[in-house]
Amino acid sequence: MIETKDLSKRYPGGHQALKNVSLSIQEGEMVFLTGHSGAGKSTLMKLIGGIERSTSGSVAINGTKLSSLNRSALPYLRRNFGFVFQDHKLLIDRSVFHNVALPLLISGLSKSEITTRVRAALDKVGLLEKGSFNPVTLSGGEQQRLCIARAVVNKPAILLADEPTGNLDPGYAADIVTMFRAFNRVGVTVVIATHDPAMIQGLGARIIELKQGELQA
Amino acid sequence: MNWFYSRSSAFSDSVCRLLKQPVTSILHILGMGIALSIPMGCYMLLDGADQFSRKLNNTSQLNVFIAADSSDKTIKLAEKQLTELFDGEITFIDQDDGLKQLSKNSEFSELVKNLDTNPIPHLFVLTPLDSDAKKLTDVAQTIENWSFVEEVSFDAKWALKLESFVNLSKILVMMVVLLIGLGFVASIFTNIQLQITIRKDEIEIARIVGATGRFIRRPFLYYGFIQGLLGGLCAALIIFFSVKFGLNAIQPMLEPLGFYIRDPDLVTLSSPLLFSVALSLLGAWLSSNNHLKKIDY
Repeated sequence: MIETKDLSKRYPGGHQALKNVSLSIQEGEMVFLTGHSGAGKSTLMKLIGGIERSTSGSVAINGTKLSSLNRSALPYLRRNFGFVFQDHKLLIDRSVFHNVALPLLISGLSKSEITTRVRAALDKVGLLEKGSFNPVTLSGGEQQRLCIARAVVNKPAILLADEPTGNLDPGYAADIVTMFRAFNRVGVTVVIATHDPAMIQGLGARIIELKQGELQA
Repeated sequence: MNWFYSRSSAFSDSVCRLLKQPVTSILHILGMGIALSIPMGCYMLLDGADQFSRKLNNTSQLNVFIAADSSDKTIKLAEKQLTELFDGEITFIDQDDGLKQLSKNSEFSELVKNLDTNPIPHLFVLTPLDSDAKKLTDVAQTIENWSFVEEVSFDAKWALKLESFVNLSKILVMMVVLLIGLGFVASIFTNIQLQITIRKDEIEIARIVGATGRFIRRPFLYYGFIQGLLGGLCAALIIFFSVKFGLNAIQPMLEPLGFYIRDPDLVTLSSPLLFSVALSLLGAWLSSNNHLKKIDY
């Protein structure tokens, strides 16, 4: 489903974030990307999600090379992904409901369909009662769950989570991991970038390790 | 329906953003309105001056004086040449009729009685059908060169000068309109850039979850459209009330001169509106496009 070949990324200023990374992730698989800070995990996630462009090499999603897509086609590709960020990236001037509704509004769904699906997503993460709240009034764990609700509301085929438990206490972190596991069980391909060993233990998922931008055997 | 919901959401969001900063929005819209109403107001004044100069030209005449000692043959030749050259009414007043008219004037009656010979020249009065002052000037210059013509007086020369002044002023007003237009686009461009900076996070998130360039650009275009519409409306109101209550107050003083300022009609009032909306949309499009080019690949 996801295939990278000799993928490299050099940022302006000369920092080499990724060096010749080649990997393959199957459909319905759950994978952990590990490595220390600065290992290139976030960069790899951005390149897979089509948020950034690689310097060399290629990323293919279901056989389609991202570099072969033109600018106007990329947004439609991104709709196949659900993104979860460590810093949540929530809109603080909108309610919880409207944060989750954003991907559906972008996809052009009707108001009634948006309402139904947003309520279902909020219910799944346990925030149904807080739809009218402002995100800043939520706890860290709730904000992360809100971010997950927004990521899954569009029923994506691939879930990309970048340090999703980074700022959470162990209890909340375990909840989040359970949630990802549940999504994976229903067929969603899940890629989680983390440097937290506790998160990986006991899940039996494949682990891909990055070190200074290079894939470790 | 989905199409409508997506757009109405973006539109209501743009309205909310304008309402969130009422003072800034009002001042900006007022600035736009004033900037637009100045050239429009000038144009209306010039239109009045233009009508005035046309009226003057309509009443203008050419007086062609033929030397008093000219023979009948010369006068006939002059009449023939004038008929060929001039498109309009030609009236001949010979020197005897001229003297009679002069003697009717009480101031000159005694003087006329004491004259031994008639010094009054023959006169052809040319009244044009076409009021084009430039054309009349050309005709006057041609006639002046004829040997038997003593003098040509053209009483609309200053009307021609006024017409030239009006035309020049119109060009100046157009230049002002052009400059204001450029200023308008620059102002909206900067304003939208500010909005983009404020909504930078929102744009980034929207892009990540699959928003197209059109989706991201839409609220900014609506924002520019609303500002342009309100700015144009403000300009139309300023023009309407200025003419209705300001200029109409001095209209009685201008009327004897034949100078009329017309009440602004729908076309006059809608032109700043269209101008403002079009330029605002252009500014918003350039600004949002400029940002999109920077952030996406």
